[in-house]
This record gives sequence, structure tokens and C-alpha cells, in this order.
Amino acid sequence: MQLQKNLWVVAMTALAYVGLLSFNQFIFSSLNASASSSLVFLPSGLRLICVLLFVEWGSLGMALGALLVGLGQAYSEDPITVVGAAVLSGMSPLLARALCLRCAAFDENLQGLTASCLLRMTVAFAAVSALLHQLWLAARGQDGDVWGGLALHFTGNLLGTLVVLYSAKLVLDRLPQSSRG
Amino acid sequence: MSKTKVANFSQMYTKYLNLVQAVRSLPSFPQLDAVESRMLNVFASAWHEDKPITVLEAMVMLPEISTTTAHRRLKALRKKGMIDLNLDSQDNRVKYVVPTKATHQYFAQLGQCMEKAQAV
Repeated sequence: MQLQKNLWVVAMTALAYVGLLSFNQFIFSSLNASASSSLVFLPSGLRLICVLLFVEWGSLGMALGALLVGLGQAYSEDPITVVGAAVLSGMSPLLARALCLRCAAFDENLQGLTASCLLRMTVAFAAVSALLHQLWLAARGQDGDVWGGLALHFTGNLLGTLVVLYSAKLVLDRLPQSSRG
Repeated sequence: MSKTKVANFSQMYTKYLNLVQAVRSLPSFPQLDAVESRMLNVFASAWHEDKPITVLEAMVMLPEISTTTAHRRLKALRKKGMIDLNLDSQDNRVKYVVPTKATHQYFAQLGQCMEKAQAV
């Protein structure tokens, strides 16, 4: 029963990732800097939220979503690159979470998670994700300009996560007092 | 429902609540220091009575700080979008300190915080 619930989480998070990525491409298509980087990458915010809430199952869902999208897009001629990038997509927020947990900023139940802690984690996640992706792409010979790609990935992840977090804040602030979490 | 299941749901809900709390407390206003915040509060009383405040008046409204400090803080508040300066229609040498949209939002949020504190 527990496994069924977790698989449901994986499926839903993967679906949400694919949906948000399509939305991102639709909205920011004119800002796209390269095939693999977007200046505002909204799915990053979803990745962070899902991993904070569902931990490894959220990470798995994100990796599955990235795999589904990747297989149909940019590097479809190189499935190993797609699989690696998808694994990193799920792993990077998990790594950022582990880093913040190690710093004892908050516990497993997010007890002690403050706004500044969330912002620090956003920066850590954007950096880890950009670094791992760029290293992987460089190792696979997919991206010539590593530093330029790194800066683009970092900016896209950071801005995307901030947009998602502040959109969530905007919605929460407008909810009636009684229905707020 | 089994105990493990209840514990899992409870843990998930705790995570959700903590995340919502962190997201809700994300900073949305420029950070004001104690002097800037005090200056805004003093200005707010005058604005509430529809009393115009000239820059010169604003600089002496807080007797505990020097005019130089007050002037510096006025510039900082303007830079942060928390006040604006309007020219007098008769005399261009006179400037009035006026609230901005961000100022109104700032006080509205403080009001909400007070309301919340009273409810607790």
C-alpha cells in the first residue's frame, strides 16, 4: 500500500514536471539561450518543492519527468546523455537538501525551515544542479562553452525557483486566513 | 487506518505546513533598519491626518537623530521605494515626502500581523 502511494507520488511529480516544462517552453521560448538552458527555468522550483516534500520519491519523479522530456527532445540521438541528465535532475535538489540538512539548518520534517534558509537552499540547489549538469554535458561532449553554460544553468535554475516560490507566496498571501496552511 | 500510515500522513502534513510557513515568510519588502522604520512610523501619523511633510520637516521629526542621518535615511527610503518626493505646485524649492504604493502595502501588512497577533 505504501509502495502504491509512493509510485503515485512519482507519477504525479513526473507529470507535473512535464506539464511545467511545457508551460515554461511556451512562456519563455523567446528567452531560450540554448537547447538545454533557459534563462527562467520554472521546473527547478517544482524540483525543489517536490524533493523537500517527498524526498527520494519526489527526486525519482523529477528524474522520470526529465527522462520522458529528454528522450523526445534535444539529445534523443544520445540516450546515455539523456539518462544521465535526467538522473542529475532528480539528484541535484536531493543533494542540496542533504547539504542543508548537514548544516543543521532544519530537520527531516522541515522543522526550523525559515525563509532565509529556503533562499540559501535555492542558491545551493541552483549551483549544484548547474555544476552537475554542465560537468555531465562536458563529459559527454555536448556543450562546448562550459562556463557560459554553467552561468546560464545557474541563472535559469535560480530565477525559475524564485519565480515558483514567490508565485506560491503570492497565492498563499491571498488565501483567506482560515484556509491557510 | 494503520499506525504507520497515520504517522506517514502526519509527517507529510508537518512537512507541508513547515514549507508553507517558510514560503509565506519570504521577504517581499525591502529590509528597513530600525531608524528607517521609526521614520516611516512618524511620517505615517502625519499622513494619516493628511498633514503634508516637507523634506526639511522630515529631517527634524526624530529629535534623537542628527539631520545628516535623517537626510541619509530619507535618501535610503526613497531608493527602497518606501517614500517619494513631490514638488510644491507654488514653490519648486519645497519638496514633500509622500507615501508610495509600497508604503501602503507595508502598513497593511503590519496591520495584518497585528490582527494575527491579536487572534492568538
